[in-house]
Formats: sequence, structure tokens, C-alpha cells
Amino acid sequence: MGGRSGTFGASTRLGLVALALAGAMAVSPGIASAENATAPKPKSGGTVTFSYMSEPASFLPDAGLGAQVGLGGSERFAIYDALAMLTTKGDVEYRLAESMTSTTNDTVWTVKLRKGRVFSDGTPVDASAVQYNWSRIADPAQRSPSAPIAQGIASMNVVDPTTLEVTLKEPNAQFPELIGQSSLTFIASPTAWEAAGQAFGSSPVGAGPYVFKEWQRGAQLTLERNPKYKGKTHLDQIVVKYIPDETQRLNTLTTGGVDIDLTGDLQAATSAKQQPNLADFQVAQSGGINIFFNFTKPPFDDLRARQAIAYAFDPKAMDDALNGGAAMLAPNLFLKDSEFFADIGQPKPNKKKAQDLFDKFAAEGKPIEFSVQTSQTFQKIAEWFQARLSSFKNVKMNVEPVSATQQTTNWQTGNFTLAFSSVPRFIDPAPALSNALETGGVSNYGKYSNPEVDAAFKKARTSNEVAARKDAYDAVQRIQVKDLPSFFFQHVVVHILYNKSKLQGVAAVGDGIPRWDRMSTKGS
Amino acid sequence: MPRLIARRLAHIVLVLLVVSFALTFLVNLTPGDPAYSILGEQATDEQVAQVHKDLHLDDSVPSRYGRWLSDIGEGNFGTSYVTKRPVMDAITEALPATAELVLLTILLSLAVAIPIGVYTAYRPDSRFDRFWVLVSSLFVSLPSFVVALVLVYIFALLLQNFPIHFPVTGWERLTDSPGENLWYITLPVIALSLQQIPQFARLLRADMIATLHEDYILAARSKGVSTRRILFRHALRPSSFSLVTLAGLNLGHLIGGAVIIETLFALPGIGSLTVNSVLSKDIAVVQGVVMLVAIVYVVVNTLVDVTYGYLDPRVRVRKA
Repeated sequence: MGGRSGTFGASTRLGLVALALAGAMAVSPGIASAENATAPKPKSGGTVTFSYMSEPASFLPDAGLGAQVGLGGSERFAIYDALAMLTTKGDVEYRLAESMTSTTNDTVWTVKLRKGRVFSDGTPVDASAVQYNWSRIADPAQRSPSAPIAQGIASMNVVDPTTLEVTLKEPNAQFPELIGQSSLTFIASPTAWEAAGQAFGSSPVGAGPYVFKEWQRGAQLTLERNPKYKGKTHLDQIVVKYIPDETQRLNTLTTGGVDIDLTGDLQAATSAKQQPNLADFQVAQSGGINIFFNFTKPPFDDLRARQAIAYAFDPKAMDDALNGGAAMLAPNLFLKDSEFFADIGQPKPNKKKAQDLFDKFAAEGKPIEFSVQTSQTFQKIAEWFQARLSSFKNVKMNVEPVSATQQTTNWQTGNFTLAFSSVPRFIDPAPALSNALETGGVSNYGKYSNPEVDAAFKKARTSNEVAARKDAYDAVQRIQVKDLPSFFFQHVVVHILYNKSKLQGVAAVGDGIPRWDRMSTKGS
Repeated sequence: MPRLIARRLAHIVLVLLVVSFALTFLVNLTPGDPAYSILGEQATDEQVAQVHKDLHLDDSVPSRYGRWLSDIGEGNFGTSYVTKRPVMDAITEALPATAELVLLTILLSLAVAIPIGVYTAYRPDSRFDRFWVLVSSLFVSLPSFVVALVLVYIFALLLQNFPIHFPVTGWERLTDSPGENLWYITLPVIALSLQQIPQFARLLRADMIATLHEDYILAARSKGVSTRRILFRHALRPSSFSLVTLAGLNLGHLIGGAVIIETLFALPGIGSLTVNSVLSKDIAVVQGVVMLVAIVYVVVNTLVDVTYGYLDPRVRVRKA
């Protein structure tokens, strides 16, 4: 079994070459979705201001969402850089790490770090630093959201300053992908962390292109260029403004109050198309928004009930009603250009089949009635579906808006019938897809369990060959559309809306984290 | 006097105790588990149990309240479950934005409402009075976020290329740049003031109309005292009791109630801090913020009582 290695900014991968995203990205006039190959030379210096809907609680390396746009992922990438990240196409891009290879059945991995990298406090980015960070995340006393991932490591051994040997509790051929998508990719300075203690989250020290300058909580974060950063970067300063209201964020971008707005809101992206000075760099992910069911209680412990819901739900009608047709629907689990794409379609809307199933339940004396407690994120979709179901007989759905915290509590305690979620969504299916569908998976809230699915995921984990993984995921998809633990209907797309008259080199890594090291302002 | 002060202090302490216990009880009734705010959606049962143990979340409400009271006695307002920072740090960081927003709103509202209230009381049923009734009804009925978005549309978007325009969102500390600070806070203050001004002006108008019918006003007119002096020297002060009471109540209300404006304009204030803490069940922060608001209400109430004595010396004499 081979591992992977690559030079900074590129990587090689066994198997199929990834296809371009253009068709799936819904590019339209006035919108740019990729770097312009003939862009002028990057200008050194300048400040970029970007806005996001919410600030994280702290800038500790671990935020639970890992290397994702939300909850400070973009800021962490600027402050810490990363051991490795996934490109938007799913390739592993090595950054502070040079390679991660396994020679022992994907159980023992050798993490090789690049020489000469230092944190902004001058201490070295070495194997001991990585060991310190991962041990700290694994420590239950630290209450780290990513502790379960770090606790999958049985032991670590510092072989030399740039080599760390990691032994996993179970084999995992996608260890680099796991690191590249999780918080374990962000490495903080152990010296600074020990010194600062709990306050480290408010004054982090990493090895990224930018250092922490000032944080006005609730307002903005200012990062400035790290003079000790070995890689290339053009901007002098990044300012992050936290603006909760979606409309106001777009208004602020329109008036030049910020240069970039990171959003998943389709209406904002559509409105941005009307602005001649704005461009839209999009990153789509497989998986996405779905309905998932609770297998432990009626009515959705019954496959027929789940099928009825899937037949009753019409993604296109939902998209037309709520988004003006702007959403990227998910007829299949994977994006069309994903190397794991298979034309195994999600159930198609069928009003007659849905009604027949609802009628069957009524005839058995158990008409389908259920409540959905949903956070604000999915409230519109839930209410749309409630209205749609009202056109069917023998079915009734109530919608109760709740806070995100209560929603999560309901999911974790099994106190729900069906729910709307945007998890799993992923560039690479490991580990997000198995977390959602494998028995005991951390986001398998509905307690779905199928030994064939478990066996398929296990098989996927033991191979880094694309063909072998694809076979396994094909098997998962076939069972998923049959068992319907969840029903996917819309892919999540992160939109990086930006002022194209000011910025160039806008690109992304992962699920839409801006590449701060490539972005620059345009010369006058 | 010492007895008065002691009674006052005892009253304040009792109010704070009742408010804090009621708050602790009510927040614990809200659904949701703060452990998931800390750990995220993919928390394992073991992690959740550990957080419950560390933060005493499984203890009874009276037990947790007692522990919190004991910490308060030592000057420790606790630590945020989510950010792990001292609660007082979170509050003192958020307070300047809200304090500035609220104070400027009240000052601007009074500065505009008092002349309008006085004039419409002096000239009831005039053309201006009837026009003002229409305008004030409009502003009172419009939700603050609608007013805010209209202001943003006009003064930030439409006028963005004009020399005089305002930013859509943002915040700068007063100590860092007073000019920028005022520039950012202008639209939020106007948005809030447009709801306060009609209330203040109407209240003052009603009280002044009654005052202007008093015999001593007639006597002052008969003596040839100027209209301006009559209105502002003789009639305004005794007519201001209700206005002062309302301004005091609104000041306390705005501290927690300006959350919509703070959210729209991205101001890092107490309102936003409170809402985010309630939603994530960060009970420690919610307790701290509500205690702050309660203290502000009590202090403002006391100041209002003192102001009565200034406005109407008869109150001082009666008390004496």
C-alpha cells in the first residue's frame, strides 16, 4: 500500500484524473469561478477585508468542524497554515507536512514535515509540536470537539525532528484525507500554548502566513503578515468582519465596506450577479442537504414511511419556490465530476406512489403524523415541505423552530422523527460519509445500521486505490437509496463573493476556505 | 438618611436575588444542552458526560445557584461555557458599544423630542401638530429593523458615491478613532431614536398641555413673562416627570433590547452577546448579563427618583 507525497501546492493521486467543475458550477455571465490564467502579476501589499456570518468562540486549533469554512476555519488557515489540506477537487495538498506514508497495512503512518518551518514565535514546527497538539486534542480534560479523531491514534513516536511515527488503533488508508479535513491539520506552537493556557484561543500562535494582531470580539479580527512565514504571500493584512445578517453582509460588500463575503446563501449569490464589480468563486461539495430519519421510533422506523417522504419531496419544486431555481440539486450523492460519482439516483418525486403509501398507513390505522423541530437554517425548507404535504391525504407534518443547540441536543438524544441537515457534506467521503451512515458513526443520529454498509466502509478504509474505494461507495449508495436512512436533495455550495476590481488570484482550498497565500490586490 | 440608604440597598439586593434566581431557573428550563455548544454536533456520549461533570450541569438548580452566588460573593462572575473566558471580560468588552448606542439614542431622542413636544403642546391641533401625529404614528408602528434597512438603503447604498454617506455595518472603538466611531454609530442611533422620539414627544405634549392650563401659568402670562420663558422655565420642568420615567425605563430596556439593531449593524454589544449566549445555553454569560441589566435598571430607577427632586422641589420638601 503506498502513501502519498507531493511538493508544496501540488499533489499526485493514483487513479482517475479529476474532471473540471465547470458544468456543475452553474457559471453564468458576470460570474467568475476560477482564477484567470492571464491575470496581471500579483501586487505585494495591501489589506483585504472579508466578512463572515459568525465568529468562533476561540481560535484554538480545534473547533470541531475541522478544516472547514465555518467557525473560524478560514482564519485558522491564515494563522496556522495546515499540515495538509484537500484541494477543492479532493486531492491531498501537503503544506507544512511533506508527506504522510504508510508501510504497515495503513496502521502505522510516517508523517514527514518540511524542514525549516517555524511558528511566528520562532520555535520550530517539528514532530514534537505535532505530537503535543494531537495529544492535547485527545486529552478528555481539554474537552476538544475533535478528541474522538485524535483518540483514534494509539501511539506516536518522534523519530527525528521532522519525522513523527503514528500508530492508529485501526487501519485507515485515508489517514491523510482525515488529517486534511480535520482540526488535526492545524498545529499551534506548544511553547506559546503552554505559556498562555486558556487564553491561547484569544492570542493563537501558528506557522501560517498571518499572525494575530487584534480581536474585537463580535466585531472584527485583524491579522497581519507573518515575517517568519516561509511560503509566499502577497497581502500585508487581513481583516475579518463578523456580520450576522445576510442582507447586510451583501450590502457591505456592495458598498466596499468589505472585499469578500463568504456565504452559502443562494439569494445573496444571485443578487451579487447583478453587481458588475462583484464576482463569485464557488466551491461545491458532495453530499449536502438531506432529510434523515430516526430508525428507533415510529413512523420512520418503517421503510414505507421513509419512501413515502422521499416520493413526496420534490427537490426541483422546492428549489423553484425557495431559490428561484438557483440551487445545485443532488440527484446523486456525489457531484458529477467526483471520481466517486455513480449514476445511482436518489428516489425521484412521485406523488401517486407517495399517496398510495400514506393511504396504506391510514388503512392500517396509523396515519403518518410527525413534528419536525428545525433550526433557522432549514426552517424555510421545512415549512415548504409542510405546505407540500398538506396537498396529500393521510399525512400531517408540524414544524417547530428551535435553536441550533436544541436541534443538536434533539439529534443526539434521539428526540426527533425526521430532520433536515447539511451533514454529511464533503470533498472526500472519508470520514464524513461513514460518520453519517456507519453503525455508531458520530453523526449517525438516526441509529441506522446495516452490516453490508459497515463492511463497505471498512473496505473503503483499507484501500487508497480510487477504483476500490469507488466500488465500496457504489455499494453504500445502492443500499442507501434502498434503505433510505437519509434522502439527499441539494448540494452545498460555498460562494466566495468578491470585489473583482480590487482582488485577483481568488481561489479556495477545502470546502471554500480562501487561499490567502495566492490572493492579492490589483495594481493601480 | 443612613436609614434611607440602608433601606434602598436592601431593596436593591432583594431585587437582584429574586431576578438572579428566577433567571437561573428559567434558563435551565429552556431546551438544549450546553455540552453540544461546546463540543459540536459530533460529540460522543462520553464527552458530553465529562462536560456535564466538569460544569456541574447535572446538579440541581438550587445547588448550582448556590455555587454561583458563592462565586459572586468572591467577585467571580464565572466562566463562559463556550469561550472559556471570564464572564466579566465578555461583558466589559461588549458594554461600550451598547452603552454608547443607548446613551446617544436617549440623548438624541430627548434633544429632538423635547422641542417637538413643547411646540406641539403650545400649538395643539396646529398644522405641524397634525403632521407630527401622522409622522410619529408611522415611526412608532414600524419595526426597528424596517427603519434600519430603509436608512441603510438611503444613506449607505443610494448615497454611497456622495461625500456624505454612512457605512452599512461596522464598528470602531471610541478610544481608537472618535470620528470613525461616530460615523459607524450614526445610522444605528438614528434607527433606534426614530422609535423613541415619538414616544417622548407625545408624552411630553400630553403633560405640558395639562400644565399650561395651570393657574400659575396664567399668572405668569398676565405678568408679561415671555412665551419662551413660560414654556421652558415654568412649564417644562413640572411636565417632565413622565418623560424622565419613560427615558429611564427605556434606557434599561434598550441595553438588552437593542439586539436587532446590533445584529443588523454588526455592533459588538450586550444584546448580541445575550442572544448568542441564550441560544448556546451559555448560562454563565446569560446570568452575568441579566444581573448587569438588573443593576442598571435599579441604578437608573434611583437616579430617576433623585431627578424628581430636582425637577420639582416640592418632592424634596415632602420627603424631608
